[in-house]
Amino acid sequence: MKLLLKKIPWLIGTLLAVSFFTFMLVSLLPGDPAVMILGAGGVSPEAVAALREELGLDRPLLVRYFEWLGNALSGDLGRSPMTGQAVMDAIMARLPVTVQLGVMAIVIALVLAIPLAMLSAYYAGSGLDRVISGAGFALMSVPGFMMAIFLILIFAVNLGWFPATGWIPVSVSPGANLRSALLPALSLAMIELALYMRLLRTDLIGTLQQDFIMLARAKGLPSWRIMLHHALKPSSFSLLTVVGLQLGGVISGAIIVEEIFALPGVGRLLYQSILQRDLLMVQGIVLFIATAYVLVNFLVDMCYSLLDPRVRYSD
Amino acid sequence: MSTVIQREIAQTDSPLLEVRNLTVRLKSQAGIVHAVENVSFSLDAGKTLGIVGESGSGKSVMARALMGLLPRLGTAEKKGVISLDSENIADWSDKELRALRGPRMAMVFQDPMTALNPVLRLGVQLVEPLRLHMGMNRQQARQRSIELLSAVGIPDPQQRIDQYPHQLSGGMRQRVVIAIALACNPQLLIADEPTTALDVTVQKQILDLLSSLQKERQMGVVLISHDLGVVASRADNIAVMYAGRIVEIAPARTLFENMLHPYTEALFNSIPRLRDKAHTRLQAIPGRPPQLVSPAPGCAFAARCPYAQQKCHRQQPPMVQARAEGHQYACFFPVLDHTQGEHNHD
Amino acid sequence: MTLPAEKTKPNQQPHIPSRAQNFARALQQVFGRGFGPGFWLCVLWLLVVILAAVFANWLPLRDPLDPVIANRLSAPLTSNVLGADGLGRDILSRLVHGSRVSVVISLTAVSIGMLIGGSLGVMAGYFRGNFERGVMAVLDIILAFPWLVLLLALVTFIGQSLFAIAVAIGFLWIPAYARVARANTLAVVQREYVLAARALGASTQRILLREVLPNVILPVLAYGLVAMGLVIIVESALAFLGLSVEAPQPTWGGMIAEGKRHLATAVHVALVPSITMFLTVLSLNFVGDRLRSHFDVKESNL
Repeated sequence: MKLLLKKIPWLIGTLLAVSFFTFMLVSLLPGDPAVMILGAGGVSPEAVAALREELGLDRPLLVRYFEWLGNALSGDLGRSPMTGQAVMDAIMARLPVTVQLGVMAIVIALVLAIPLAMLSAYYAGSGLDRVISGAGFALMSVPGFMMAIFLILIFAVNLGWFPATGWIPVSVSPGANLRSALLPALSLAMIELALYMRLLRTDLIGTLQQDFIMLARAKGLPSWRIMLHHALKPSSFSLLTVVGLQLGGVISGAIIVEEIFALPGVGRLLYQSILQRDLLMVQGIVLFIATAYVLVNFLVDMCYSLLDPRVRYSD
Repeated sequence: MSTVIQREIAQTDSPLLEVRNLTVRLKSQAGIVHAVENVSFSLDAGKTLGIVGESGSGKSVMARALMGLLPRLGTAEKKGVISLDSENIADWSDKELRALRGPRMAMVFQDPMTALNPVLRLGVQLVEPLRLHMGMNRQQARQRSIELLSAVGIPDPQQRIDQYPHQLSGGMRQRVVIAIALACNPQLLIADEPTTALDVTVQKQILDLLSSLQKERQMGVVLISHDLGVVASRADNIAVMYAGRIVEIAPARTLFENMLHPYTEALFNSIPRLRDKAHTRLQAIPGRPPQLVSPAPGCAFAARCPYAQQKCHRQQPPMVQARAEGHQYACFFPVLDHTQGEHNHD
Repeated sequence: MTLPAEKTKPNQQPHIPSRAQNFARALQQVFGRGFGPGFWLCVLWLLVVILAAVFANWLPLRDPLDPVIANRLSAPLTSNVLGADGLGRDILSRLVHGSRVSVVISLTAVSIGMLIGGSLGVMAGYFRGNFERGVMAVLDIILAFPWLVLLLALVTFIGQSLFAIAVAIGFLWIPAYARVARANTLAVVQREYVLAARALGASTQRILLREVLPNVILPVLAYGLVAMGLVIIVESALAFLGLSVEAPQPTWGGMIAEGKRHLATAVHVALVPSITMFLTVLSLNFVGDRLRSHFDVKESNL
């Protein structure tokens, strides 16, 4: 518990810095938001000035930052001048889609990676290992969007099993929801799969060389039990760490995948807001995503210290 | 998934463990390593065989070979006879050997810091072999584990059983390793440098513990060490290994009174003695252990042997019988009685 | 692009005296056994890509920007060697010209990351204290953003010229290199020979240059090839989203994006640039990984 308390100032500091950085970056973007809203060309300076005052753009930067931050903390990220929608509402409406996508991707990746890595590690150096590792290596060279196109080509265009675009929420039909989510989730999962597999394999091989594995063998335990019970557990901690670290990659990939499959998620919203120069929306979404990312990483970190007995019981 | 192996009570004179011409070759980046070459010895129930040698002499590889724990993919060759209770287990598959490991033979490892799984509780690690080999249920196994911990001298076993290895000291961890090894009442215990990683004071405790447990259960013990002193008072017979071969083997007393192999003599001389005067030079053995990848012809110790002759570098000395019973050595020019001060010349 | 073997600093081998001998030994290792045909195939492919990028303008190719409607979506080996895209433009020549973007951006971005990130890391690892804490804090903040989010923001800010994109991606790589450099510096600094140099009164600059740097450079460089592969992926992701170098300059990512539209009718429009990119990234990963495990003493002792 002491560990937790020590890290909280760091957490708050990081979050503050993140919010500051976000605000500054977006505020320093070229282009006058007021002009963009009213439309360039043929707009009177007075109208621009009036809008600027209304939006509060004429006040000093720092003041605007603190005001924005204060609002953000109470859940108000402003209202998009372009769409008129409250930023927070827009995010919340789309969040379930992105979360489902991310969770599915990670789960699929883990479910495939763990057994494959165990096989690979157990038969390290053999033909099977080389095939699995080779496939993983090749997968790492395929970016998310390429994988998405490949999957669409095979499963949507040629086989017609899954839709190429579109999202059906769970509330309408869980079956259709899964169908529309599978290809996007797979696209994201493949790279994660390659990374998890590679890392877990290396870690398992290292663990399997330890003395306590030999002792387990000396006890006459069967190989599967040694692998699952004795080897996987110590190695799972570094896997957990990687899953946490990779979340940034998953979120980034989600932006692209959502765009490709036209899924109504937060990532797609961000992308389109950037294209439309809806800066307030961009600010809000970036802050939201970055904050969520920092918090989740923090939680994963805490989990790690709680689960790993070497850390938990050390004085 | 548990079978109870009935222990055969050996009424005859046949030894508990008999090893004949055991040879092990391992794969390595540098080539094939001749780790163990033509090793033969026997061990009776209730007796202790000490195996002494420098690091790299092949003692640990041999210990692993006995248990069938050689690296799966890294072993190039394993030949010879390993006879446990008159059954040759040298060629048994891993699956078959698993049934033996625990109930009939067990091993104690060198480094207690790494021998226990750091993320599993001690209780779990103790209970595993009990449930697997002895068919106990959780309750029984837990109870038995607590008894075992007591038997190896761990105070407060009820509490300790739920702790993790890093919460115990080195000496205590080694006791737990011993407890695990003894859990299923094996006939044969192989102790590979059981005290090397421990403090001197703890060393004696652990060795005493092993001795008393051995007497209680009439186990055959193979005690491996690089330290002649450790083995001296506790072994009935001692085998000296060098470069993968046994160079001399004899009952303990005979070895110390009548050592014949120059390497044994050098080992003996290198031990500092309390009665030596202050500032007496330590007698190290000059040179280094040979590399075992492409062994040179002739005696492996020849390069470092003070009595070596031409013949030693060219021919491998065979194992020959000495005068005393059970005493064998492999040397063309053995060390004779010191009062004579002469050595055989050919 | 010189083979990394020539960049290897000879002082890595502890028991060999002269630099010339070391160099010869390294060369021998690379050209001798240990690197199979797969390795050399990948190297060959990379050379092809680089040569194509460098000599694009002099190669006998069609105009990459010239739309020939008659050839629209024609399959490979019909009117065009690798087929034509939705506007009838020659895919092969677009690939070749697109490789320029990939090569330039990957080299530039990785260099930026290495130079800035590497220096920051070495200094942080050497000087420790508040400087290190400050650097690490700033890096943590950069790492607090998912990379694409940060990149999108940067690109919107800096613009979409070749240089701007390279700098933006390079910026992303600074934390990674800083960490690698710092970790290796920390390991080196604690060793005896640095303490010895200090005891002899060597200046900080001298220590950094002669003791720390040679030992840190190798791991940093080894990571370089793999990093380049990642940069190509990142850049093409941006291009796919339309946020990399602007049209009409062809980019691999842009070509794939265009190909998506024709998946049902003309697969090759997306497939050809995809395969090209895949082979390039795979080769970079493979070669980089092999070199790293060969020259990294720790790993090869496994």
